[in-house]
Amino acid sequence: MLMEADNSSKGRLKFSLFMLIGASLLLVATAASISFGAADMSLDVAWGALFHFDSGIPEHHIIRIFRLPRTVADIVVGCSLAVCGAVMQGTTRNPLADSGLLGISSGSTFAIALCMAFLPGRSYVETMIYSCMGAAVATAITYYMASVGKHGMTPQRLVLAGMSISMLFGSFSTYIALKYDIGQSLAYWTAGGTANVEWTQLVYVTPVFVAGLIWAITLSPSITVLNFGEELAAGLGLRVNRIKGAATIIVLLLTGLSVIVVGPIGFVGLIVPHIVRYIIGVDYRYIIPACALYGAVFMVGADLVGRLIGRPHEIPLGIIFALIGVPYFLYLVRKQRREFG
Amino acid sequence: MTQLVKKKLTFSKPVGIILLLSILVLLVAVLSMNVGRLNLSPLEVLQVIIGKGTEKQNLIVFELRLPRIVLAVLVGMGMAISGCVMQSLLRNDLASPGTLGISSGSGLFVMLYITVFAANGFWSPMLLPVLAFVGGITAAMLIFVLAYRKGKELSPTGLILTGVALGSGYGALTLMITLGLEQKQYDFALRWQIGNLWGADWKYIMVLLPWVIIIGFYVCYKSNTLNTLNLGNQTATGLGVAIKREFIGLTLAAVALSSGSVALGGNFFFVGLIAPHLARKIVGPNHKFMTPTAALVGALIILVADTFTRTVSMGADVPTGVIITIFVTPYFLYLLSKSN
Repeated sequence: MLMEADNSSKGRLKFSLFMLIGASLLLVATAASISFGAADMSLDVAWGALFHFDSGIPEHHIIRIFRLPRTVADIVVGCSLAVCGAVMQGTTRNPLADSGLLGISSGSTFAIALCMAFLPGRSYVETMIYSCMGAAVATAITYYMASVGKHGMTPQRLVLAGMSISMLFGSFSTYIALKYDIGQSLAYWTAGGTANVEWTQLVYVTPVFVAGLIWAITLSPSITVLNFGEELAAGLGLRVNRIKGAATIIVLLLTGLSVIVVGPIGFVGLIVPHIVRYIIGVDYRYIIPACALYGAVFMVGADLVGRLIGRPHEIPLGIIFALIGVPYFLYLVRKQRREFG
Repeated sequence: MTQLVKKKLTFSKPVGIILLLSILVLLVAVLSMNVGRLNLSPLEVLQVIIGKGTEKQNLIVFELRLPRIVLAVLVGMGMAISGCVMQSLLRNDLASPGTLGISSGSGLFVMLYITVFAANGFWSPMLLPVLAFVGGITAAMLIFVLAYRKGKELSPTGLILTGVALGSGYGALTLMITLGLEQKQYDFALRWQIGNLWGADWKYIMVLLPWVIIIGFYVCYKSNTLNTLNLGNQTATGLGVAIKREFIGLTLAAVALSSGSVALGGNFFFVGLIAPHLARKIVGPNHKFMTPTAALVGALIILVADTFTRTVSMGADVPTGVIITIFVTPYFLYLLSKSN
């Protein structure tokens, strides 16, 4: 008993330290993201733009109109995707779950392609709703297809189902893109980027994001239990289906809003939860807030790297994450081969 | 006596099916020659074939339609045989040039070639399949290196997951290349990625035709080896198969076939996966019959899809691969739900 208490206080200490480091990293990354870009600015100019705005200084406008919303968008999306990944990995007990890999983003993409083609005068909220609906359809199909059959949901089956759903929605999107001549604009958006985010968009997205995040955190104790196994969780009096349903809705909301802000980016939801779990253990009460923080750090950092390498051109976020994520995925497959059989 | 009759029957049924499929392919090919933007009646097509057509009819049939039909057949065969070999070698129903990321590896090299060399006016039909082959082999080697663990047999699941991951990596690189393209080139790249029979020109076909036929015959010739390898490495060794050599030879053949098809026909993702399955269902797992059946099924799938895209107007010049993906994904998902 004493040991246990000791362990948990040790764990809490480790967690607090980890969060503190994360917060300071995020602060540094945010400051860098605001000051560096196509034109570098000193930190005190950035500071001034934030807190002593002077409409006479052009740099202040650049920061307020371009850099700041971009950084906020990075934070929102990074948090969302990492939390999505953690929630999915926890509830499905599948180490390879990620909203990009499971085809969820492709559903959103297809919905947005349809919007681009048929609803030119749509509002941002409408696009957001359609994007979430697309994500919902794709998730439903992927989960259903991966779980029917005698053998249940194995990682291989989930990944392959996700891949083929991505292919299917991808080919629908290609058809729409070719027919309505929106190919390249769709591709830029598919590659992922937060360069053109505006405050008016963030105003709509942020409340949904905050709601989703809080919901995920309140759900986290149940996810911890669920991660031990569904039967055990049911035996402990947990309403398994209800929790799974709530988790799915959180994933849909957060994925849908990320896709609309930045495009379908894979691997964030894969990498961040794994690193976090490696450091602070399997308790989702700690994992989910830590994922939110480090997801943001990752995204702001990746966006910064994409902006700085090969200036003045930008490397899209999706490509950066694929380049980091693919080796990481390979490593996971290799490490966990025993579990996969 | 009865035994003999029985044996004859089981032997002739697959042969009959193969014959039937060949006739079907021919029929669809003839039908495909008739239809298109300019309709020719079957009689007119016949006249053209025996050399009595007008100049315009000759042009339509020999320069526009026939190459496309031949290409569809070759690409379908190449992908299907390649998938067949991979599934047997790895003993995994879900292996194929697409799922293992080998065709995306070829694709990356093709894309590089198109953007770097072709843009500078350096173009040779011979080089394209060769480069695709280099890309495919690189991808295959990468998969084996990454999935290899000392002292353990290659795990089929690990291979597939590795392939999927690498495939998405190549996809990201390809996307990066395509972003820098002009509108027209970009359209081409988009179509190519989903599968589009763009190399419908005799000069390309003259490269692909011997490629597919020679390697196809090699694989058929090796069907006994494939049958034994499919039983498991230990059994195969016990039966006197030099595993390593055969494995490498057949892998090279499979990659070569898929690369040739990918280079000129684009990335028909699902054909290499579905055709062997259908063939196994129709004629059983004996490679002597399964490989040719799969080849014919693959040819038929692409030919039908291509004829469909050319006749049914959908408001845009739709790449053939879109149709195939839309129709075949449900079947693949069904297979996935059945597989273990």
